[in-house]
Amino acid sequence: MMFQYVLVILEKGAVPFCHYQNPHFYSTREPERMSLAILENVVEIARTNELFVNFLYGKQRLPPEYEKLIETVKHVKIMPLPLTTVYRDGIAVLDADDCDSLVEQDNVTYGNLILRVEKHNIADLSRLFRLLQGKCMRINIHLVGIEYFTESEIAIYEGELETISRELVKQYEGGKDIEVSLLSDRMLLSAMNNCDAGVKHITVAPDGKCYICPGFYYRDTTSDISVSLQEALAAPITNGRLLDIACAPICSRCDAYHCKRCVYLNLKSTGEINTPSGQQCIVAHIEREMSRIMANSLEWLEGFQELPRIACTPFRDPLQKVLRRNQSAPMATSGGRITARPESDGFLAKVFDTQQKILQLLQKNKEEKHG
Amino acid sequence: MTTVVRPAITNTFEPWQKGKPKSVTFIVTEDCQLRCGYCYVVGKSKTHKMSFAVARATVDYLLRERQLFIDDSVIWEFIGGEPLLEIELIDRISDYIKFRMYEQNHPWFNSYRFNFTTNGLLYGTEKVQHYIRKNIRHLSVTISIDGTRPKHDAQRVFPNGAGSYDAVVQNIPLWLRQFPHARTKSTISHEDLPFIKESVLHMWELGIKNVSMNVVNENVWLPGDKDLFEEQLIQLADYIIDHRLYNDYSCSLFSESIGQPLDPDNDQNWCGTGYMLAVDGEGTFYPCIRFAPYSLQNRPARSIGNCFDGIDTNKLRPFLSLTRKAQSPAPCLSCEVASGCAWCPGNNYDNAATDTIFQRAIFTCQLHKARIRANLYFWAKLQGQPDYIYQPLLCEGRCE
Amino acid sequence: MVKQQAGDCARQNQSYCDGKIVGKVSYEERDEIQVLFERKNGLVELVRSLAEADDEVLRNSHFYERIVADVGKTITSYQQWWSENARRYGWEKTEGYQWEINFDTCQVFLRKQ
Repeated sequence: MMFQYVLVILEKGAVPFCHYQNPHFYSTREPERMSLAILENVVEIARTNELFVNFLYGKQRLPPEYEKLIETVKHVKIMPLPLTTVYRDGIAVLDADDCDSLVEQDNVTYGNLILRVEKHNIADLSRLFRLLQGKCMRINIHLVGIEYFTESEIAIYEGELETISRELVKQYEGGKDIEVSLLSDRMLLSAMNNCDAGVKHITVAPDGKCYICPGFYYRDTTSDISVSLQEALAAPITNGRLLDIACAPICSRCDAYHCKRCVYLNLKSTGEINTPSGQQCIVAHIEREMSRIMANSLEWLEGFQELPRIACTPFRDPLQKVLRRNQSAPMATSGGRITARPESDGFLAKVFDTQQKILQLLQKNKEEKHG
Repeated sequence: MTTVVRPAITNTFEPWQKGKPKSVTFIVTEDCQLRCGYCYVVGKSKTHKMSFAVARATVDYLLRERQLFIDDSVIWEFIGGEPLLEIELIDRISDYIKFRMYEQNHPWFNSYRFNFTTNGLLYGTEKVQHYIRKNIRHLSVTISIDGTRPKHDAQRVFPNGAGSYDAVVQNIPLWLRQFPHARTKSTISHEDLPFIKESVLHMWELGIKNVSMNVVNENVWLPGDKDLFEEQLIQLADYIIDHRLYNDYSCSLFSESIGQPLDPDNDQNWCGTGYMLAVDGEGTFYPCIRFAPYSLQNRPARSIGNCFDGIDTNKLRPFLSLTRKAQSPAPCLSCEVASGCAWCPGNNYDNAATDTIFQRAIFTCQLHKARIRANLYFWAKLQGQPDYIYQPLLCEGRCE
Repeated sequence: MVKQQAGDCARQNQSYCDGKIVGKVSYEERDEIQVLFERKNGLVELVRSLAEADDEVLRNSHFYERIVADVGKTITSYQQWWSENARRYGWEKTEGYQWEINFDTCQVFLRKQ
């Protein structure tokens, strides 16, 4: 297996950090942590196989033995923003709903911030950007519930992105260095930069079982791909080729390179792990288009001149590239020879004969109705 | 102007409107008088029937959503189980379809067909004949007859095990009088292999000049089957040529276009699943009948919406984007004789290792290659016949 | 035993062995007559269904009147197509024979009635 890193969910209520939801995060119960024994085993395997580890934290500080163990392996910590006061090297995750209250209290700046945005936050996106832009160098935005976005919500999203992109252009013209994942990344990319869950990384749940990503664990705990990390590294995932972009007909033809191609969302919305929803594709293309316009505006600016060109596209949904007329249909002939000939008088007579019968029936109905 | 005639044996079946119509399949019943051994309907039921209300809601939805269904033509198909068990319902639905298409001035009124595939048992009954007379110019009816009595009765049996050949064949003359160019649909399973040659000839003797025959996609094949299949096809080939039947009869087992490598840019799925629409008695939509619950043994059904809420376009997306490359294993993609090798996405899904349509089953691979070998023999021998005028295949759409 | 039957053509889009080709029309002309042909058939069968329809449909007399007018108009247009094209292209005609068109090849045949 060619995994490069592993995601470890340290407790059931670990912070959701991308497109999936975790209701346990909002629970006030005692954390249900991964046992130390399981964590030791995972860390050992990661070290042996030179896997980089992403640890997902809950709301509370870990016991000292956990903290010590974690420091023995190359890793990154992903945690709710308030916990970063304890772990200064942590990557902060922030829900858009909590933006105002948390950011006001905090005088710290962050290198990397993960911002989770739900449907009801969309209209507020540009304001949230303005709130955060002095607080961090990079905002990774993840849309939650994108599969439920309506056309009008997508239109609002587009408007908000346009506002943010104009402000970003001003920032860049002013020499500022700030990134917004959904807009900045595509300008820099010349190839796909997807999540690659199940391809480059695997997730270990608190019970030690492995999943393609945390979204699969929280959606259905029986969807594990193996009972242990050791097993996941040894055996291929059943139909794992479908996680690869080569087996994704829509994505393999797409150049919205910044799209994360979330396979969890794919499965949830379309029933297939390799097929994105229409909303995901359209949103990604809106972002792409905004990036294209931004790149065009900035092409005179030093540092932006060498960026890869983003071409214009006539469509918003890359499914259009794949669609073709169906090649076969159920067997149906014309019911006879496919011919036509001039009508003979006899035929007309038959038609009018039937009409006479209908006329009589109409007359009879009328008489019955009026007594 | 001279008339150039291509022999009937070179005929490949061309669907009405070149396969471009929208196909809508009503699963009117899950009941059937027969219990055919190879039937994909694994869950026959006497109680699951379509109501007129569901059919009406479906028709209204399809006619209303013109921006979704932009095809110029439509095929309204009725299937089961055995559809003719519900001829009164079908009659009522058909009348409703015609009234509504006309009332709304829908373009489909000028280009539609009603399509049936039936076991033929009820074909001669008065109600069915009344329906046929009423809609004759828009009808396509296929009777499933498998061949000789032993072959037919090996699979197409009543619940008590008795064969249905006699009951079906008595309706064939009437069927052919009403549909002179009809073709039959015959299926080959493991047990039927020794009867292929005599069955094709038998159906031609019955007057069915166009025989469509295909092997089942399911995993029923045993190691020696490919040799037996090839042997039967070669015997049939010899008979056809020795008796000069190639000018007047056709059989889909022989085709000039199979056995070639596919253009690497040819990435199309084999069939129109995703472009078709099947609706069951509950009003649930499926991309094809093979994804309905009654057709699946191992996997849950794959719905794409219903007649009340409409199509779920996200659930439909995988079917629209189902390409040959994404579902086929590597050997298929580099196969030198890939053209003509068929697959069924429903069967693929039911046999896949996970809940996916992107895993092609290749149970019939060896039989496809056996068919190609037999075809090579047939066409080479045929070209040596003095009265066979070789004509290259016409490009699609070109009139000579 | 299956016997070869001379002169019998099984395929729908094949030139007929037992009819004489007297002309050929353009794709556009073919499309015109095909639509008329299909519409005519549709109207005829609609009328048949109407004869059996329940009272609710029949009570809508505007619907019925519309169909009657449509039948007349369609059949007139249909006959006109044949007359005009026969005149324009000078198709041969013979007593006891009728013209037929093959929608796939656009060829017009003279066939015995």
